[in-house]
This record gives sequence, structure tokens and C-alpha cells, in this order.
Amino acid sequence: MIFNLYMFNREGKCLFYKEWNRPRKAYKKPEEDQKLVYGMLFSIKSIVQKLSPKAPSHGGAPRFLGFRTDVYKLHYMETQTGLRFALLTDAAADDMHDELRHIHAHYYVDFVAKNPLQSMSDSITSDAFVNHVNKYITSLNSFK
Amino acid sequence: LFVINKAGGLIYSKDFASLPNMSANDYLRVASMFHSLHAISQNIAPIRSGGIEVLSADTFNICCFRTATNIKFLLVVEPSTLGSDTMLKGVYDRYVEYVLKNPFYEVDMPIRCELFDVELEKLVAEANAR
Repeated sequence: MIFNLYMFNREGKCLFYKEWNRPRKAYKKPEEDQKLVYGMLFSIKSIVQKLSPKAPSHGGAPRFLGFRTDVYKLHYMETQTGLRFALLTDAAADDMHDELRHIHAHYYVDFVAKNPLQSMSDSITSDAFVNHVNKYITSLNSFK
Repeated sequence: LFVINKAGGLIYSKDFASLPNMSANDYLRVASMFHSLHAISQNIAPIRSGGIEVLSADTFNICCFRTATNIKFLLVVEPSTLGSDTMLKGVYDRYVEYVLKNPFYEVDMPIRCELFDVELEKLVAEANAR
């Protein structure tokens, strides 16, 4: 089951948030929740850089991939431009990094990055992007 | 291996392989950060959650075992390591035996029990030999 998806830019602004399933809402405004998620991801990234016992084989800094709790899993992907994706699924889901890469390479690049009216510091307004992402996620096996 | 008390303070840390560029302060900071992140992960959870169990990066994983009394045992392992949760339960058993049953030990204070150290070394030596 896929719960929700967050996309943040380099400054921490949430560019896109969509939830498909969310039984528990612990916040009054979605902005609080988004800021919490961004802050958490930022801190986790700095812990990973600090604690890594050796340099990764791909050269460059150690990367955070995601975490799992007893009931959910968070998959994280960061692009070279500083765009951050966080996808929350249930704990049984497999690695969703390929799906995140697909969303970035096919939907984000085509409908947002190439859009001359879309500024990097605004949340995403492209309907085409929203619809494509929705269709893609709902069609995944892990969606139910 | 790190042990964090219920307030988020580091009460025990042990290295089984060297970690470059980590001073004593860094350990304290990392442990407290993990404690807060664990709490945040429970907060943002889409359904009621017990907090982070495994945090994966490409060069290592952090496995966390949380007791009913909110003490966290963290293990930093290579990604290919299996059986970290059995190992963590083993550490917890030894914690109960050598730390909690020690009449001179106060709860939530830094752990300074020799027998706990000795038993941990034995546990890790067995695990590394396998």
C-alpha cells in the first residue's frame, strides 16, 4: 500500500504532496507535517555523512536510501539538482527507488523542469504532472 | 553499538571497527539526533508506528531495537549483514543480566559495568566468526 509522496526543493519548500491513503493525521496544517518531514530528512542525511564507516564505491558522499519502521517504509531519493523525493509505503513494499527515478525522469523532467512558467521556488502547478503521477502510482503493484 | 536512554542521552557506546572522524562529542550528538528522529518518524507516520527499526544508507545500515522502557539499542552494520535483530536481542539480554541486575547501577546513567563489556566482546566475536 502506498501512503503518500513528498517532493522538496533544495531550500526545504514542499513542491508537491499527494496522499493516497492516510489513516492517521497528526497535524492541523499540512505545512507543519511537510516541514517536519523535510527537517527529519535533512538531519538523517547529516547523520549518514558523519557515521559512514567507509567511502561508497560510487565515489562522492554516502547516500541515505530510506528507513523502515514496524508499520511503514520511507524511500528517499535526491537528484543532483537538490530535488528530494520521499515516498511512504507499507513495510512490506520492495525497493521503490526505481519508481522514484521513473517519476523524476519521466514526469518531473517532462512536465515541470521543461515548463517555462514553472519557477523552482513555487509548488508544482502542472495538472499534467499531477495526473500522470497519480495514474502511475495507482497502477503500481504495491498500491492496493 | 550505542545504547540510548529514554531521555535521548547516550549511555553506552562501543566500536568494533574504527569509525573515522568521530569524536566523543560526535557520538553524543549523533545519538541524541537519532532519538529525536525516531520520535519524529512516529509523528509523521501515516498509521500508528513504533518508530524506526532499520535506517539504510548505501555504505551501512543502522538497526534499532526499542525496549518497552524506551531504551534504544543501535547497531551500525554493513548492508549485507543478516541477523542484526537477533544480535540486538542478545545485547538486550546481556543488558538485563549485567547492567540492570547490578545493584550499583542507576537507571539512565552511563553504563560502566565491566561484565557487560566482556560479554559484548564475546557476543561480537562469535558473530564475526560466523
